[in-house]
Amino acid sequence: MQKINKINQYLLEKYPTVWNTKIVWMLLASLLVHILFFIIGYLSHLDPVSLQKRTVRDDYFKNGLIFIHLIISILMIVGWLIMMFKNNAFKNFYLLSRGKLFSQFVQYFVIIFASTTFYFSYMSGFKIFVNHQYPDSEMKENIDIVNRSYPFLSQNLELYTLENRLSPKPFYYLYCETEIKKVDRNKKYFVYYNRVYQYYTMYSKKSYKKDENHEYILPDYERNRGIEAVKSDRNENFGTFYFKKDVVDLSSYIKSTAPSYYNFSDVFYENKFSDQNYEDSYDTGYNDYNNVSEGDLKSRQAEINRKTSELLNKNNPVEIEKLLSQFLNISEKFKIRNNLKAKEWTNMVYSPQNFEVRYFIKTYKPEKGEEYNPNSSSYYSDRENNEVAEVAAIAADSAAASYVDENGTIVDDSISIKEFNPEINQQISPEKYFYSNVSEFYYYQDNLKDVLNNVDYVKSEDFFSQNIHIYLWIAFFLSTLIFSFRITGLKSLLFSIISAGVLVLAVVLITVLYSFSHIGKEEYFVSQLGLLISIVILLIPLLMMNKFNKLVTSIFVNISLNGFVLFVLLIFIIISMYQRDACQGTVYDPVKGVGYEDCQSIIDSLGLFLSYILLVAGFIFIYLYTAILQKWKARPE
Amino acid sequence: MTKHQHRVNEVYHFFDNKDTVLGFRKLLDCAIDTQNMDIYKEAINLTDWKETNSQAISEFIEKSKILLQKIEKIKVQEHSAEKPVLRAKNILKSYGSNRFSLGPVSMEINKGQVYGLVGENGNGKTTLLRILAKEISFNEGELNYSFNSEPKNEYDLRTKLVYIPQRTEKWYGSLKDNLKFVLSNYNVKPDENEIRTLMMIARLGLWNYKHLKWNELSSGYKMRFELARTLLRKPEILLLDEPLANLDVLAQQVILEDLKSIANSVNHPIALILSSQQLYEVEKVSDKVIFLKNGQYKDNSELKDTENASLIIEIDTTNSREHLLEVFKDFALEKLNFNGGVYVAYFSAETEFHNVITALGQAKTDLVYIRNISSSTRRFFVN
Repeated sequence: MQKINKINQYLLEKYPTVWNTKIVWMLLASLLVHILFFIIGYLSHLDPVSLQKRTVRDDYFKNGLIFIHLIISILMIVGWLIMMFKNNAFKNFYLLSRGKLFSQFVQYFVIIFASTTFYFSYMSGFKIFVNHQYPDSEMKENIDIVNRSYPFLSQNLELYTLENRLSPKPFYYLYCETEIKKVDRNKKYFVYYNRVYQYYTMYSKKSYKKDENHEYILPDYERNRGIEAVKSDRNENFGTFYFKKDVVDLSSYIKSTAPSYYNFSDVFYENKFSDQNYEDSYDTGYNDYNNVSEGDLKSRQAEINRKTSELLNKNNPVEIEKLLSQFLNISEKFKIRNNLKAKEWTNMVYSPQNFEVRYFIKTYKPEKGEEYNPNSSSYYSDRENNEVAEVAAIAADSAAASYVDENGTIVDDSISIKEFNPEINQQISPEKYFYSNVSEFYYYQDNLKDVLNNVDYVKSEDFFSQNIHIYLWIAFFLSTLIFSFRITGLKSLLFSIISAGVLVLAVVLITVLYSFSHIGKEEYFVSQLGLLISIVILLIPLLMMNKFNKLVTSIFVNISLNGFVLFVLLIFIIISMYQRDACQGTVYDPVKGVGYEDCQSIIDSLGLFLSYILLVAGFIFIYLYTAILQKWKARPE
Repeated sequence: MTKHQHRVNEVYHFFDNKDTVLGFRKLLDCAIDTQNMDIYKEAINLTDWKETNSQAISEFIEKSKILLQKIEKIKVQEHSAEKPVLRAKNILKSYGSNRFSLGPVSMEINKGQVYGLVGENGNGKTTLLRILAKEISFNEGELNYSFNSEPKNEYDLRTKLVYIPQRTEKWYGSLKDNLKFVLSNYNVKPDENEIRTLMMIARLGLWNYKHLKWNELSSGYKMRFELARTLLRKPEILLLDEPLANLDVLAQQVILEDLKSIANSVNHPIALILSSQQLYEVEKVSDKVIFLKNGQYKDNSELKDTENASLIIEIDTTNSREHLLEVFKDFALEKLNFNGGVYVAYFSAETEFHNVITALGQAKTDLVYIRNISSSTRRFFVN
């Protein structure tokens, strides 16, 4: 207490403005609260279960911390104002230079900013915790293990069928046709129950033409002959379409058409937020395609496929068990619910030669008496399980040997499938196979995905620059409001608020009246009217300070002080409006023969940088305006 | 002998006569004039000692004299007060459409002078003070100020025009901190801040009140604290609206004496204009008394010309009008007015006041109060 008094007296004698604004104590108090929020942020996700949700982005708001934040901020600011309002050098006509007056404003800004931005401390704590608890190197290793083990987490039969196969290399470059009608019966094809697979080479063509929806259209030759593209990708200037060419016989690679671990090529998890992690580990020489992102994913899938095959080819259950137990260790660390045991799991997987999938693992633990439904996973009903659901639907109808085509109509295909697979009636359908082989083991893989996803999200997300603007502007406008109050007093401020409200109302009414006669031009009218009024309001204190009485002038002063940045923003908006107007329609590029839009207004090109420009403009204005404030204050009534 | 030494000698004289209360206040005035922090510290220590040892008068006088010796040795820079600090020429102010108008008022005041502004309620005293302080505008006329340093702008000018309204605003927080806040805003050296503040507290007799809260002060002490706050700003002109309101007669006399001697500082004289209803007390300290009636300006310098014209006496007595007329029959009585409370008798210029009193005494008149108001603005009130 004595120390506080001593510091207070020191400030009072040496820096009266600092003493008056109590900035030292406010910053100290803010620091303590920031530390508190940092600690809360650090501890908030100690339990990995808290990361097992779709996103942790809004945890700050959902777990009620925002209310604590608000209450603390309000209490701090109100307490601060009570303390600060005890003295007012400007009001008492003490010697107060423009610099000191401006520094008061800056101090208000700093104090309010410091006592409203606890969110950043919370997120910093959270981020540091995640970085510390889940270091990049360890996570990279974990994800590698998870991705390599995922093929053995047999929860979805569809991932093990033949069309998934991408390794060895021929599979990677070929297109696998699975539609019965499009399969050439005279060439080599493969059959698994009611499914047919045929492998094709491809050729590609570029297209520069766009349709009315700005989508690239097929090259003329293929379009005229009704040749369908099997895949396509696009970049800024052209689209690339791929078409089937020749059938390739891959029987030397395909030993069995039944679902097999050899076919699995899905990547369980990859970091969406940073592409650096995978550059080195997936340099597999598969990157021949132009489309980088798709090529990347596909090459990673192929890599999974290759590694799995490699492991299976070793035919060594000990090595598989080692991998799976590593996976289970990671799962335990993340507290993922499961009842898998490495040994038993290995036994389920290990079936030498073809490594067909013999057992399946549940995605959740069904309640007692409840029947397992792969469709109702722990909480996401819209993921891959849908595919299983469709399969189940087909299974019910399989006796009739009909299926639902993509238009939703039931097509009787019994004859054609029998032509491909005459023994279909003696075989067991994939759906029945799945249900009869689903084991008692379960693993909540969605939760694992969420944990990995959230960890990378928190690590990579730039919470600061995304959210800083809202806090900067809260601080700025609150500061101008308090500054106005300190300079002109409560009465003037209230009158100013009322006047501003009436003014806005009048502008709206005039605009409405105007819009009756000039439909569609209101946007320009209202912005120009606003500009005109703003200029008049700004000029009155500058040029005609003594024309009106002091109270009236104070209204103009207050509106100028609080509204200047909005005035600058209005100017930017008007410029943008005219820019957009000037380039309506598309620009035609004669070289490529395409039209494209190029309407970047000044606001678009500045982006969030505009916010900083406005802020700096606001500060400069207030510094310059201190001369007007002194002049206003000196005026007799 | 310098003006400062002269003042110090006066203080010795007060202490010799054991007028310690007045003497000590004058001693502090002399101490303040030195602008010497060592003297200030000693004066503060002496004040503190005095408040704790109020019985030891002879010891106190001894200590005071020792301090006086030190004060005497310090050279005090005398401040010239020749140029009027304020010059108003035909100031005219009217409210609304012919409802009330003030002026024309023309006046000049030098530093070290005290002007009293008197008049009945609603005659424009506050308005005039606020015009002079640039708080409110006026319609016609000229108003010029001349300060030690030329004001940089309008706000700077307002920082030099110190006006204390009749109802002062509440202070928040520690009283001493409020005073120190003034000094630090006026760029007083940090190590002098506390000393100067305490010196001002001592001088205005607030030593035992400095730890109180605003709400715990009586209105008289609130006025004194307000005065302390104002004087710390080192004003060259000070405009006080009714500083004597809510004060008892004794306190009125003390504060007027204080104001007078502060305004008359050797080192930092102040031009002081104060408004009041307390005509007698104000006349005692004022160099000039300005009387406002319905916004019209009169001052007692005009009276001096008409002084010889008549003798005017104010009498409060239980005796009848006839009795008075009987007593005054030998004098050249021009008229005798009775305004309900007192009689006002007008005599020709040659009549002597002491003869009138003698006559009243011989007639065994029952006198409650008698006063010669020939040269007092009191005349204007009773008219």
